[in-house]
Amino acid sequence: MTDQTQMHETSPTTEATDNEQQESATTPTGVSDLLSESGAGMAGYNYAYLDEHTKREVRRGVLKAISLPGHQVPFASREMPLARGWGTGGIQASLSLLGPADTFKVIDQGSDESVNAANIRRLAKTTADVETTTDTTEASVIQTRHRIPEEVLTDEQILVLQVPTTDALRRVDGSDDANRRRHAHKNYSKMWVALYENVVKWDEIQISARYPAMVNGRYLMDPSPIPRWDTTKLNDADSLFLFAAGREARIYAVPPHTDVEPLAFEDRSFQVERFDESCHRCGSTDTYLTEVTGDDGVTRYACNDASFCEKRAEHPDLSKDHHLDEDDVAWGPETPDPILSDETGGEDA
Amino acid sequence: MSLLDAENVTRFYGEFEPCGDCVDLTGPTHGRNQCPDCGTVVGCADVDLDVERGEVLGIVGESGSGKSSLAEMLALDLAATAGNVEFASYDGNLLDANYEERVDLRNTNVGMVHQHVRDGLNLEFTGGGNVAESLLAAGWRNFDEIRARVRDLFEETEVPVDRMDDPTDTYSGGMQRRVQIAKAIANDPELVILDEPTTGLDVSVQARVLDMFRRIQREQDVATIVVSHDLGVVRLLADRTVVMRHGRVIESGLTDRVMEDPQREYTQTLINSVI
Amino acid sequence: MRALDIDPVHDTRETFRALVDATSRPGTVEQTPTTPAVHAVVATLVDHEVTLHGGGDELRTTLGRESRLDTAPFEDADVVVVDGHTDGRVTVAKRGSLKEPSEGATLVYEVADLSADTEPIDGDDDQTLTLAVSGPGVPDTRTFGVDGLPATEVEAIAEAQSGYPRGVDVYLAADDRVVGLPRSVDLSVASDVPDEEVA
Ligand SMILES: Nc1ncnc2c1ncn2[C@@H]1O[C@H](COP(=O)(O)OP(=O)(O)OP(=O)(O)O)[C@@H](O)[C@H]1O
Ligand SMILES: [Mg+2]
Ligand SMILES: [Zn+2]
Repeated sequence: MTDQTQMHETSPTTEATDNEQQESATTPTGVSDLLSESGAGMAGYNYAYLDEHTKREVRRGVLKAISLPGHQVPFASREMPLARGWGTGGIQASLSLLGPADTFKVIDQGSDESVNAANIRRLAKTTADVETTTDTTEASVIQTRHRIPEEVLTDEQILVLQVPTTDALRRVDGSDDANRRRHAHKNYSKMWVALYENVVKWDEIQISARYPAMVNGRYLMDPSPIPRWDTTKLNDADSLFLFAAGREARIYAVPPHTDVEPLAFEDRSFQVERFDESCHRCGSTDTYLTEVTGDDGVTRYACNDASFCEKRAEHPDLSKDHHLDEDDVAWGPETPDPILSDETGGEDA
Repeated sequence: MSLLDAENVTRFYGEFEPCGDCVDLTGPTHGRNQCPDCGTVVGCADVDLDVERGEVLGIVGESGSGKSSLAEMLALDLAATAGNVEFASYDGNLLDANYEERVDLRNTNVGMVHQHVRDGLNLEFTGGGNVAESLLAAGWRNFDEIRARVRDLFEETEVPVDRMDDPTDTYSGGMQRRVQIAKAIANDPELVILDEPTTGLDVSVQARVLDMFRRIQREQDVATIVVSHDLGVVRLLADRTVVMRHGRVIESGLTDRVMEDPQREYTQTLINSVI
Repeated sequence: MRALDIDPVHDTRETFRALVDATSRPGTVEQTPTTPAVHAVVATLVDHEVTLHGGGDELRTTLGRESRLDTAPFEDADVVVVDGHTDGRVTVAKRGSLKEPSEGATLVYEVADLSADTEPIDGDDDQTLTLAVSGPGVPDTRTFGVDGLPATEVEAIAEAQSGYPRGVDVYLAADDRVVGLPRSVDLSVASDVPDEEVA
């Protein structure tokens, strides 16, 4: 049984993810339009596209966000000539970071090949003169939507996550003002009641993505629409995580070596997705899998992290920390123990 | 020492700058609670009272006499204009407690049953969820323990346990009142404040809610302030009673004494109007 | 910013990256592309959207010429440049509100020297303090050496950061080096030179 298909939310609030997806689908050529306006190449652009004033605004926000792990810092998000929800927050954060010495990777739901990812990469390459890569281990800055890579991120890397919905509390209350008051006073009992009712209904916590987590024991954070699988990677990592929302004009951060604890009960613990299948391409059993339907109409499971899947297809034994000096670096869910997974998902197997 | 000792508790309302004479120009002798000079409404003023451990104190008075204002200040739900309140579990003037301290005190020491259901319950949550909120806010993190405690509290307050997972807005008024009581006593507070525990309920339901609370109050020996415009409620529950009018306490004493031998004509009128 | 020998695009970006590293790994000594680091930091962070207190004439004149200078008293400023120490006044700098703690001030201290290891700096050991930080960005505890920052000022900074999430964020700058002390960390003096040695 794979529970990734279950989308039970704690409240009927619609997933902003869906909006984002729809919007981005309608404007797949956002960045190319932008670039073609004044021809190719650097001529006619500010370095890294944004003017220095805009960058300063983003940078001040980024530094305050790192100083206040998990707190949503407002910043003067610039209007970008792109459709809303396209990831303008992530682009602004990336372009404020990037320099000629950087190697930039862009992931859209696990894939480097989507039109969105390619366009963002091109914008950075053209205007900021960066190297680009699809190899996670070679990137210094990674902009991503909905995923954290399977290969362990290092202290040399910054992951920029695009955020459609900034506030974890919006699941339980639509009023941002009331929610900011709750954050101010670390008053998360309403979220806890929602979790309680979730367990009453399903006997376990059923939140598929955007799993709320406490950061540094102080702020409740929406980790953006990453699967639960990726949520544990945020805890005590070596890398810096920046979360940027253009439409909502908020930036927040998880610094390296910071406690990130998914909300859960002592006796209804946080559970990651488990898959009974292996990747049909590379055979992996320790990666986040998604269903893909081939040309033959057959639905199979495949690694969502396409770049790592390619490496694994060539080197099936490649570990997630193969590029590090240390071994057994904690990163995401443990590889499922066959005995344990028997216990949890045994019945329908 | 008393559990709670309040002096001089005062609350103004209104968008005007108080003129300074508001208290002198209002009250029972003037027959009004709004200052004629500046328009400030004196919700209550100069209220002194104390509550012993395990004791039930009644507050009666006509509509608008300031009962809820007083109750909400003591329940840390409303900021005071002036006053000093000593409370056994708090160091200093309770009315000066900061936000965090208030949250803490409300979670563990003082339980409030609000006059208006919406102030006390989230009607979209289940009844059980509302009660669980008290436990969760106090740091309970074991689901099965929370569940068991909520079930006990439902039984204790005589709400059908098989309704605990239904949304609270599907409950009757009496059930909602009971859920509020369950929520208020969830963390074994030292003081419970009931504001109009019976208004809006059928007479037969009123009696059952009061009996239920009286039993819990005796079993747990929890100090209680019960606010009502209904003398019957106070007579049933309260050891001592204070009578309020135009924002002031005009009479206080043992409930039997106040009922049988009222010192003030107004109290006499209140009693007569009930009987 | 050319006047300060700072490239307004590339040097400020590099400085920003140094600040990102310094803030996300408190206690590490990061490098700015230009000297002094304090100029680089101010050139990176300050424009008319924020208010500045302190800073030398050269810095203020340059910012003013670019219409990027909006000054404020110490207590109200968003960015404060501190020459050595504040005599404990850091405790009255802006700390933001519970609702918007990010409005707390950023203080940039110009100190004599910074070192990643805690060996005495430049043999000038009577001035050297070893500071310890722990918290987000720090596995266990990290120590570093600072020259020219009185222990009393360190205590005052810790006090100004004590009401988390309200508080101030601090950068220490010396030559081309910068150390971040965001409010999220616990800061203390790890060792002090005994009085008689100083004498
Ligand atoms: N938020 C407010 N703004 C202005 N005036 C208020 C406010 N709340 C209460 N008052 C006034 O303060 C006085 C006391 O009100 P309070 O609710 O304390 O009385 P009460 O004795 O509880 O009345 P009731 O029996 O109707 O509940 C009334 O005149 C009321 O109109
Ligand atoms: Mg009332
Ligand atoms: Zn694969």
